[in-house]
Amino acid sequence: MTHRLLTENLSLSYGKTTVLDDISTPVPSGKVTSIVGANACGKSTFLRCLARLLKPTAGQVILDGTSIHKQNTRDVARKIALLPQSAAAPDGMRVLDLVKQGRTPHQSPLNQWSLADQEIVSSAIAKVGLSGFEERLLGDLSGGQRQRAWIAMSLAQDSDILLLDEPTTYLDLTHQIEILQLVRDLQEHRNLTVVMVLHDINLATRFSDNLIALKDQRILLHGRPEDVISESAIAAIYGLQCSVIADPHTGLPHVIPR
Amino acid sequence: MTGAARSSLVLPVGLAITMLLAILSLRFGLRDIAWPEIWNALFAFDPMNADHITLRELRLSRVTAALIGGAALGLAGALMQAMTRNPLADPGLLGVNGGAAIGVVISIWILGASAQAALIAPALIGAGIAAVLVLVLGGAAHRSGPDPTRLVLAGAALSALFLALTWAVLLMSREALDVFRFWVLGGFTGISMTQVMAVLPVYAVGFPLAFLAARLLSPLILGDDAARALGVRVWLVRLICVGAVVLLCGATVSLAGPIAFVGLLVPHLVRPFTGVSIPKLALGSTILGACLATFADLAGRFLLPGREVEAGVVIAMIGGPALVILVRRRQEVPL
Repeated sequence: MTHRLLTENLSLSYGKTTVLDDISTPVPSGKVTSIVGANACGKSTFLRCLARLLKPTAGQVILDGTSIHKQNTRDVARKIALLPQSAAAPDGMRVLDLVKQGRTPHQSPLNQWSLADQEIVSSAIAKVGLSGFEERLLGDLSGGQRQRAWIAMSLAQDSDILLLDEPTTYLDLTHQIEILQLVRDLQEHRNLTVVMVLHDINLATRFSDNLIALKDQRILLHGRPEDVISESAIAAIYGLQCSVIADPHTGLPHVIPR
Repeated sequence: MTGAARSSLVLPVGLAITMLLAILSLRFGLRDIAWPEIWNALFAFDPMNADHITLRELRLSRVTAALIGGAALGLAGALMQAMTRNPLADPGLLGVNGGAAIGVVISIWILGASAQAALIAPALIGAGIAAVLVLVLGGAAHRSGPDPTRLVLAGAALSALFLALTWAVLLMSREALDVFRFWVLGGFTGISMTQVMAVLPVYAVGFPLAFLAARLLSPLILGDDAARALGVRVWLVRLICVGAVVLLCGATVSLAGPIAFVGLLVPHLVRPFTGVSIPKLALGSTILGACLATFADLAGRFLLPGREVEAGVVIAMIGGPALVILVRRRQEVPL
């Protein structure tokens, strides 16, 4: 199987501090991959490299056979959507206006807003379950609804690859599950390639096909959750003593700190 | 009334009020001109008629300058606040006014310029030099483009430096002080059509560039990362934006001196009607900027018996309290 997105000897340093060191990995197409690891292990940096927001110090990110930094910004934006961690829109903005921004890479001064754009925006709003909320202001939505609106914006970008940087931050448990289930459904429905940074190892296990665990600027483990999650693996990733039991609902590994 | 209806109504209403003020500006002044004479002066000009000469030589160019200058400052203010995501950002923060001031005092001091017309070129050169310095210090040459915070810091630092230099020259030259203290008030009196025409090319580039910048800035309100992920070249958008602001403000300060508060205040007055849309905010601020400047110029003719108060002074008198009221009522749409 060929991979549309992969990294080759990817390294990134801020000054003398190395954040990522010689990472070569495929990103499995049509799967959900979660990046996990301790705080400040370079999870977000890795994701931002994939999204072309950061230029690697050495090595490269390959998208469809060519280095992502040699490609046109707009072309990349049509293939990769990112929901950044710092996602912040003014409270006075309507849901519709936020989602419309997702069409930015498909527009140019000559190619104005079209009926097709309108349909894609409506369908994106419908897919995240916000139909009827188009005119609402973001400030009037709950945290979960706001995150849905942002996901709709990424969907309107109409790309096959979706990157999410901690999409569940600031959400309560119900909304965390709700958002991750939505991502899972969308991924299956549209056969998206999803890469997300997650803090919660149990949620990552439950909603991912693949885990990439980062430690000391490198990939420590990469594989299916049921294959990579073990007591020794958690000790190695987080330095945490724990028990791993089978999740009573799914049978997937579930980490219980000691 | 719904928000959409309000925002669609506010532009024509603003435009109508502005036009009305502009027409009244032709009529009233130290010497009132009767309505029929205004018509005749425009369409049946009699070079021997004092009213006709006043209108053609003084009033028409003055109201044109107020309309264009006010529009430019309002538009530049809207762009500055949107770009820096700072509700207190003002085009003056980029150091353009300070640069124009030093250009003016040096030209008075060294070249002995005193006529207002002679001050336009030095002001424009000073504003241009200041703009380039601020852009370079603000990181425009940097790969990721100018950083809004660095730009404002560089602008503030350079403004302080220019102010110090300006005062140094003023201490050495009494003539410079006499001309400068009038110039620094800012206003549209005594601007001739030739002067308006001289800076018109700068506006002709500045206005379209500013409206382009307003369109391009829209995705940036989602944050730099989100904008980049949407394929926006953030550095290029910022550069276009700063370039437009510099052209608009440089031309206006050269023509009318430093006029404060329009760029700061106008976007706050417009935002409740336009919401967060930057293109709408830019258009609204353009119209309201023209309206405010024309109103100030007109009101200045009535404040003191027998003499005129410069528009810059009137705007400061309106702007200060208006800003306090806005902050107290917190009616403005948050950025």
